[in-house]
Amino acid sequence: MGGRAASERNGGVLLEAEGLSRHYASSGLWGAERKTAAVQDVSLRILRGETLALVGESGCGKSTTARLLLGLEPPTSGTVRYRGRDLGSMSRTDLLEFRRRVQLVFQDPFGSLNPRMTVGGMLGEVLSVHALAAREERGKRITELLGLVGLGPEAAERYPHEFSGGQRQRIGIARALAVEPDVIVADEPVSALDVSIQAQVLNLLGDLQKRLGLSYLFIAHDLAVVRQVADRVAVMYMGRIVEASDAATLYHEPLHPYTRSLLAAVPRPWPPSEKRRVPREGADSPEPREGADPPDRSTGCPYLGRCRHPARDEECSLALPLLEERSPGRWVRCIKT
Amino acid sequence: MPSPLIQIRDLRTYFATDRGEARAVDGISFEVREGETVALVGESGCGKSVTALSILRLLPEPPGRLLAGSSVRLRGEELTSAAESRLREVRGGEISMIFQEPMTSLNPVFTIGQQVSEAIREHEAMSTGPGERGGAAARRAAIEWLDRVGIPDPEDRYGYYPHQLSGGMRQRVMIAMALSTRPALLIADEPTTALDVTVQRQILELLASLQTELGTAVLLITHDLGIVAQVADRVLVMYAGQIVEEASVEALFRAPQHPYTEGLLQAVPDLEERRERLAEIPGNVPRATAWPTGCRFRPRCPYAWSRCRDVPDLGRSGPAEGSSVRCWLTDEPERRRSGSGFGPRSPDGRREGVGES
Repeated sequence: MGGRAASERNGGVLLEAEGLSRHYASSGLWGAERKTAAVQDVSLRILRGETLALVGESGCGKSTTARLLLGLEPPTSGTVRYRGRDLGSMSRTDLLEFRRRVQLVFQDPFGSLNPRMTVGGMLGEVLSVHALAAREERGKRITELLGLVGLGPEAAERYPHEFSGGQRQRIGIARALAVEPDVIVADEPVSALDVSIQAQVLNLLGDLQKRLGLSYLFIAHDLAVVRQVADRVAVMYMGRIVEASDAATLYHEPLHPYTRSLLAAVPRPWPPSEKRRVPREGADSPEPREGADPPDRSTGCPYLGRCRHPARDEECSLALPLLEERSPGRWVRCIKT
Repeated sequence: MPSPLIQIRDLRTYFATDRGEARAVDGISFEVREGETVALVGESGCGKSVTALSILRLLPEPPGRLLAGSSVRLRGEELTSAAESRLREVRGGEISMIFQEPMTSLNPVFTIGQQVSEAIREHEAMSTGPGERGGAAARRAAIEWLDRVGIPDPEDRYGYYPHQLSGGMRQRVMIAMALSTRPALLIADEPTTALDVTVQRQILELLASLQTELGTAVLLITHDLGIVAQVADRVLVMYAGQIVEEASVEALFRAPQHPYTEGLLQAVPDLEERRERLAEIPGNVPRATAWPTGCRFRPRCPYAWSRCRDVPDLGRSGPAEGSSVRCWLTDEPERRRSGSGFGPRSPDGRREGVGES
């Protein structure tokens, strides 16, 4: 492939989505077909060595976006490019190279680890499938990989069930690293872990990024976790990106009413302020309660039903707001901000 | 000071497992007073859920067993030796419980309205004898409750089945069922963990307002320190089957005393600011079949020294009133100042994190 040179010409863009949409057709019981748009017109770029986070609530389309970027399912429309090359028209060799260079780390690695295989056996298999280490060097490489994720060489002899949740996530990361990727798509990698273990894994991901120059697409619902890892953040709502910018700006001056509402809803551990810190349901609630959300709004802003922006009005229901770049790198899909 | 509504003394719940006896809850004591919110916080496997289930005697026995000497008193009445018939009155009567996933406690073949009115009727039958209130009255009461917990169009939704509702709406139905009998204590086990953050906030708001209105005490079981800070009056921190620290919410967050609490607070990422590194608590949560000897946190504690081979008791009072800590550092506080702690230090030598203000 064009490799490094191509991506440098590309401004360091490794993985790129342009106008990505994914619709699912579900035929109802009586034959009436319904179309659900899981992802709509998503464009994003992942640069070398950076972490882009995709955040939003369940069902917002963040995991589907990840699957499209990994080529695990085809987009209904739009393109995915890796180092400037369109995934849809890649040669078989380029596609194999892509599958090696872009790796996935799951929420629960246990589901993806073979229970009958030792950790060493599993890593050895990955190395041999991709012909990455000669047989006699495999043991050394396995020890090296385990060391990278903070596990001792003895872990190679053990089976997945012998490890705790945090250790299994380390094994999942080691397996992703075995093929020397340059992009890791991490889908809720710490959300199943306890706080004390979560910190260990987040630190590990940060260390590996510095050491190996990895890029991450980090998908998470926990905004505090995202704050800790992300350079840039894209917020998704009902399949669309509604706001994107560098992390510090997004957290300190969120523009889109949905981003504001998300950030306001996070319970903060410090400082506990006045008594009864959770306000009564009522005027100062960030959003009307769920259920008040109008289903399937075909025109206008999809967030309008939940929006509390003081300037919202009729105009918001006329057309879908565009995702506009307000200042360099700062994108918002709202006509009132 | 309000009198204790429920008083737990030396509660021990053990389980028989293939790995040996799991000492899931291993000698905990605390109380909840009328109307207050107490948070029981800890990581998975620390025994917080088993504690809740033990209070209501909802654990399968065997493999579980409550050890002799365990005591749970509800307004002075001992529950550990109460008859099953009395326990059935207590459950859903004086004490209600809600869980993380309401789908598992709602019956999929009955409508939500039927389930709420059934809860109301069953409770009334127990307290006043059968036939006091007919089906129509219970239906009206159920619709009132659905409205009260924020279900839109309650008359219409009365006929909905659980699967037709979102997770947040199902949790509202559970809250309606749990509070419609006006319990003195609500045990809420991770009630918002499965929900999105904006829905979580709505549910917490709802619980807070109903609690004030009805004067219900809440024992909130959670792993989320943010939620603890927002809703609790007092906090019990559990580690390895024991309570390691008890304090008012202000004292706990301002100056955590137990090293485990200190580590937990520092390990939580900060929404305001990206830190260079998060503080880590090294190692893993131990298994209930093999708690470490001496202080159970010793293998992960950055301050541990020879004395920690002896078991510290919880009787050690912290600096704030009403607080207690299970840690020898209370005798030798200078060790904390000279110790390395959990996290990276800022250039001026002060530890970064939440412990200092």
